[in-house]
Amino acid sequence: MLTTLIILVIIAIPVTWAVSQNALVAGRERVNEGWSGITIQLKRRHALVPNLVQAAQTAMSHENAIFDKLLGAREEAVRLMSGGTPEDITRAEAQLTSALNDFVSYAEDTPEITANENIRLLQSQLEETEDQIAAARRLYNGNVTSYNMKLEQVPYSFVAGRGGFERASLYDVDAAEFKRISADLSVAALGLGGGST
Amino acid sequence: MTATTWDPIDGEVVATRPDEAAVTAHPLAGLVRNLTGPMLLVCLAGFAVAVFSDAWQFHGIAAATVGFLFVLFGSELTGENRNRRARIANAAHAAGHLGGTKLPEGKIARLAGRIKSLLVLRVGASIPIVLEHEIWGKTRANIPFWMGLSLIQSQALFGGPKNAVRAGPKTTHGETAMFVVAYRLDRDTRIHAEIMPEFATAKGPFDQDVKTESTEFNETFNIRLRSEEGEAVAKGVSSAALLQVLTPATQATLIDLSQSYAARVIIDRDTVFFGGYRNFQTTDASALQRLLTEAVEDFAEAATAFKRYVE
Repeated sequence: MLTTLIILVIIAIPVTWAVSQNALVAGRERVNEGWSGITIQLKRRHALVPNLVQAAQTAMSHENAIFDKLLGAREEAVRLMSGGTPEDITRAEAQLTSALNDFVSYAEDTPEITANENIRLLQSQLEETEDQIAAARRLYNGNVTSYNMKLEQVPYSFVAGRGGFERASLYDVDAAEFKRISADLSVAALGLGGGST
Repeated sequence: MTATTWDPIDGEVVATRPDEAAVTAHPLAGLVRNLTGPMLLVCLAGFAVAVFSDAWQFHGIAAATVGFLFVLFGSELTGENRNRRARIANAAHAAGHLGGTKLPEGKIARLAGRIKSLLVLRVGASIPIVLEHEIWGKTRANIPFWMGLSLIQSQALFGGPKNAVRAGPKTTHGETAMFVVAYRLDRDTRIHAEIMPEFATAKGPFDQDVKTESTEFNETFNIRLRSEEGEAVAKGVSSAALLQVLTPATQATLIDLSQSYAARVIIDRDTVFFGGYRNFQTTDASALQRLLTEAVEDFAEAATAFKRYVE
């Protein structure tokens, strides 16, 4: 009886270890995939900004400091996308979001911009991209929370401590900022909602 | 008012806006409602006795028969089934939609062939959706839709379903509305994907469905891809087309809708079929009518909430 019990324990330990290790690897992979999902949407946003600025410049026939600030923030965000840490990327994207907010505020007061059909289309695409970023951020943070919780739970915590599994960071850009851009673009700047703000 | 409208099975149909129908209260309706649950237990107990006891076999058969007939015809004899049909017609009328009529048998069969996964029973999942009536309408964004729906009597145990809408005096009785909304996308997705709530027999080693990048979405939904012939497709095939459909915003929206409607979706090339439930925990006739009318509108809006993200 005792021998059987010892054999079962000897078998159970490596099996539990292997299952826990696989679950943690899968969780870490989901975190990476979630981050990849965010970067895809961020790159989509980066691609839209130059076209938006170019269309706005064409519509207004003159330069503006807001455009330079927006393009500068975009360039920095693109640069950090390849090689920057998640924290650097988060900071750069926050600056790009701020520059886009300035652009939207400026567009609200500039009829040449809001009347341009091409800009409306680009802004509509940008609005959808902001929705996708906010959703990708939510999914990523869900993955991170699930993975980090596992790291604290038994038996995963034993494996995590010895397997080099580290806690993942949440993507902390304020979702409300993304939502503000979406709302401003769709309702106020584009006049698509039919209401006033 | 009669109009030609889009239909997922027949292509185009001519439908009429229903007239308002009267809902009448039968004096025995409350008693029958209260006895339905106990009589269902009598039916099951009688069946068990008939099967397992030789000495009490006759009594068991008698109890099972009485219980079964009561459950089957109780609602019909007190006019409750007619009242449910009237409520559906009234909901369509109030919203300015067409139809509110019974689904023809032939169409039910064709629907079952096309969206079988939405209508079958799964172990550890919600009760299967049953469709008895149909409505054609347009959402607030002017998207034409077809809706199949039915109402069944329900009794909540242990506080009732988490997404139950309560109104009027406190009661455990109410109605469960089952919906399927279909509408067309502006593009051909080139896939037949079934996105169902995770069920008990698809967990652990049997968890072999397609996965997205979201842990929460994967824990909430079971994703299957099918070929034109209805065969299950290997994981890797068409996954690019699937990911184009299941964008982050689509996934986040469906997670939210799974909470409120126990949502399930079939994307069949350019047509979306969105199914779900709504529980009304009330026996007040006017409250039931108001809740159903709101639910018809809200469900059509919910079904089309992720349309632009899929396109």
